[in-house]
Amino acid sequence: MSNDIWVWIGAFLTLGTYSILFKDNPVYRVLEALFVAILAGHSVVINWYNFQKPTLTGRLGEGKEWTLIIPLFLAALMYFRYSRKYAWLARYPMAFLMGIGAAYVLTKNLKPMFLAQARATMLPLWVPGNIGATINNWIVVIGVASVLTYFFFTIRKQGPVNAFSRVGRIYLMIAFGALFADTVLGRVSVTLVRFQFLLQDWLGLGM
Amino acid sequence: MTIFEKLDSLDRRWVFAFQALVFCIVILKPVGLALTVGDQVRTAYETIDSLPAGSIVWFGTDYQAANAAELEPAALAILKHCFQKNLRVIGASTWPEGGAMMARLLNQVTPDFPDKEYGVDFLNLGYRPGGQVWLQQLTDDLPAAVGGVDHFGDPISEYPIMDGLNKIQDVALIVGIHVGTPGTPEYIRVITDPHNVPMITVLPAVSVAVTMPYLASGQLVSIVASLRGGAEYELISGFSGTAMTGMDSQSFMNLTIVIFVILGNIGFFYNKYKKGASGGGGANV
Repeated sequence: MSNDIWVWIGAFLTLGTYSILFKDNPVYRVLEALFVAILAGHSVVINWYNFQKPTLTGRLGEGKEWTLIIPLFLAALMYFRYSRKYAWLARYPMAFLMGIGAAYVLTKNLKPMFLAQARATMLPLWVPGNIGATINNWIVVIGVASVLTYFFFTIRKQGPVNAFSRVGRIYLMIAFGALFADTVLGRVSVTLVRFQFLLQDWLGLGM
Repeated sequence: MTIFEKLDSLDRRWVFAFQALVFCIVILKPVGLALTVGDQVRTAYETIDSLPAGSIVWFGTDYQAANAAELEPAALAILKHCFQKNLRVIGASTWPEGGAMMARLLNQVTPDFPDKEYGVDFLNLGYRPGGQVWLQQLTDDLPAAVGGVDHFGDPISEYPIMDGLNKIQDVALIVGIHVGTPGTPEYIRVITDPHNVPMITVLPAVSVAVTMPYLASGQLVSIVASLRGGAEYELISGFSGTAMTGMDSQSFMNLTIVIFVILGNIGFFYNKYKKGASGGGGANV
């Protein structure tokens, strides 16, 4: 069994967190709050020391980059959200951020997120000498076309269109199944590492 | 109450208890199931292995402590492989905890490579806010984008590793250890796709399915997925770690879950059939 106090603390936190699986309890509640508090506190401190303080003292202070006062001013306006009377002032930096965000996404997304992805689905439906690739390409092309048909709401789906749309639905169900299985796999991995910690690092078993 | 009715109404705590028992047994008595290296991990390994000595590999540690268990084994094996190949490593993050995560990786790996020197062979630039916009800044002026300092607040201009590194396009490869936003799509949008910088991404299992299209489109070199990917990388690189030793447990646990899913469905459909046969109707599936 470990002699390290931090391993013991880690073991207590792990077991306390897993206690929710049995039933809700005060220990879990405390640990949940502790986790959120540590994360929030850590983010504030890291933001301050990694970016805000060096920017204020270095670039704005010693470097005299006076233009940085503009984002500083806009950032300060955000705090007016806490005042009912002057909360409207916080809309200006928010509008600025939304404007930049929208423009940025529109200009940056087109090629890598749309054109490149669309091109990747335009596949040859016959690959000579490679039956596996041919089948794969058919699966991809039918999948993309049928799922797009499933989300096509402008016309009433009847006959062959409806049948093809149902194929799209099956594709979606398979995709959701894969996503769910991936999620389970991830959680199993995390649990596994915690059990390794408890059994090996804490209790010293199976080393 | 029949066995099928019992299955349908089984308290989920029994399932958890059984799973915990399976974990304990297999961790303490591993059976040594065979592990093979998949195409994705092999591609990642060969990509890193083919880089010339001295090349710079950018580690985007965009994750937090909660994800470390799933991603760290792969990240550690890749980092060791980079050091073994005499590649230079620079870490940076768009996530607040990312700088500490990079420091954690380096602290675990550098004792095995005592000749590696901070600022010469590796560097931790730490966390910077701004997400995708910051990534864009890296493509214009990397030293300015990081404010001229590293994770510890020391000036980076003094470090030899920064010589000739003016933009992120100057790195030979990006290894993105990503769990969310900013993550792989943001890197693809502003760095890897427009500037043709190759990227390998280490992902948690939950992100793999949604990231596969980038692989199909050629915007990613490879995906090293979850603990399984870590185990495969440990196997192919020869740097054994916690992932490989846990694969038996992972396989048995997955099998357990599949069995429970099948049993649960048998119970569900049997009870549905029984209710239908007795005229009680039944819920639509």
